[in-house]
Amino acid sequence: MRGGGSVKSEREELDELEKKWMSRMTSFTTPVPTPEDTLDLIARVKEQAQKPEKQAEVAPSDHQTGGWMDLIISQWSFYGMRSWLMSAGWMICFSLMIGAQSITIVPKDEAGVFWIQAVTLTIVLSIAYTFRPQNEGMAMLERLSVYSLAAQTFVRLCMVMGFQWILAIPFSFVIPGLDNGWLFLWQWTIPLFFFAVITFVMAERWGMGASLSVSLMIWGGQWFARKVLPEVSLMVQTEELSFRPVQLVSLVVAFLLLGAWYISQRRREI
Amino acid sequence: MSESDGADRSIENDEASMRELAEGNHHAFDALVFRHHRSLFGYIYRLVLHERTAEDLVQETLMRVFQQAEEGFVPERFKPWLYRIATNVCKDHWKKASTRHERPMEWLQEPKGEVVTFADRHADRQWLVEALHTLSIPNRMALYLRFYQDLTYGEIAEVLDLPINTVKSRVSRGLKALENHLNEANDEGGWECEVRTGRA
Repeated sequence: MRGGGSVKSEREELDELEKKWMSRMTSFTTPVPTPEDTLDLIARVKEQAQKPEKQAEVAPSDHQTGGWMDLIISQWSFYGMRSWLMSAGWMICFSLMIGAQSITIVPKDEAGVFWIQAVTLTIVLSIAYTFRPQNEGMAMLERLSVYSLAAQTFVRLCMVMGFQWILAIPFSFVIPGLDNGWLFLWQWTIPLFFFAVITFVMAERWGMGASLSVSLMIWGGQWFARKVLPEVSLMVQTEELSFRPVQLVSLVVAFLLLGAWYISQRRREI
Repeated sequence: MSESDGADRSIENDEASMRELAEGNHHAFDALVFRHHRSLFGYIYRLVLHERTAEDLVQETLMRVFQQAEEGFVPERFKPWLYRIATNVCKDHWKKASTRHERPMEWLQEPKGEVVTFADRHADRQWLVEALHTLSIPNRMALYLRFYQDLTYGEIAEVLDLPINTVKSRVSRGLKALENHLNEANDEGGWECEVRTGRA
């Protein structure tokens, strides 16, 4: 018993000492390396380590043709597993939630449209989260990567959009009140793509705050238009006459925006 | 208790990055360095108290990490492994320094003017630096790993290759020694006066 008591008192004594010294210890500050110092350090270590391999280094142009998987891996390691898992977790939760609501709560004739509204809102928020502002060091790392900024951000967009799309596919076939699951898949894929591209391109151009606000306004406008002006809304049933033209127009707009963004990125990089 | 890395914690997955580096993805190394540079530099700087030397030793540490990964080695737990390398790099540095008849620690080269000019702000730091440097290097390492590097006792045991109880007793001994220093300084009429009159 005495031994146990002694061990306990030693542990308590150590805890007390630690608590007591915790704040005082913080006064021993040290110089802090800047992000530039870190970049220099990385360059020095790599140069030192790779001297014999330097000649064999792969040129960036090679990455553009055959290195998509490398590019995806680089984005994965750039943000780290935890960050990607958090993004995925958020998308899974939201998809399950809206899917369940479409199936069980929303009236049958409204379920399809509700799903489109919810899935487009999810992609806007997912893009906003994944493209959130980075710290200075990460931004610099991204600029100095062997891959172009355009390639890095585009791959990130594809990863988020692709994951959300795959997640949502099963719901196309279980949401009630729809005759054709494949048609419904097409019906919500285009708005999903449209809102993802809008949010992405605007975030690249004006920053995430502005992008999120405008995207949510467009989303709200579409939601409102469905009631008052269904001819211009993406959130309509497939049997509406305006369904195909609106889908086509939004697809063209999304591709044009993406093309304009790509050209401006290329100009900037040149 | 820990000294923050400054890096975003949400991107932390060191073992995965190390695995990718071992597989040849050199970008993973960048992420690792960005996550650990500040705290690693802090640890080594506190041990050697010389900025230039600390920079060189950080580079040497990361060089060893890179080489290990190139050889395909992936540690089970990255952080204790990193600090184990850093500790060994510092020990090697001191060994070399002693054969060159240099002081093992360059802490006396810290700029003194700073203490007088910013006495109020730096007196506490200066006293602590001096008090810590009266401790043995092993005790000091245990304290630094515990207080500044956010390591558990288990991880410190891994870094220093010691039983966990030995680590605890080193931390305890170190803190008690600091406590004695503080009491002595207070008995002598306050350490702040000593610092301001130039004894620091």
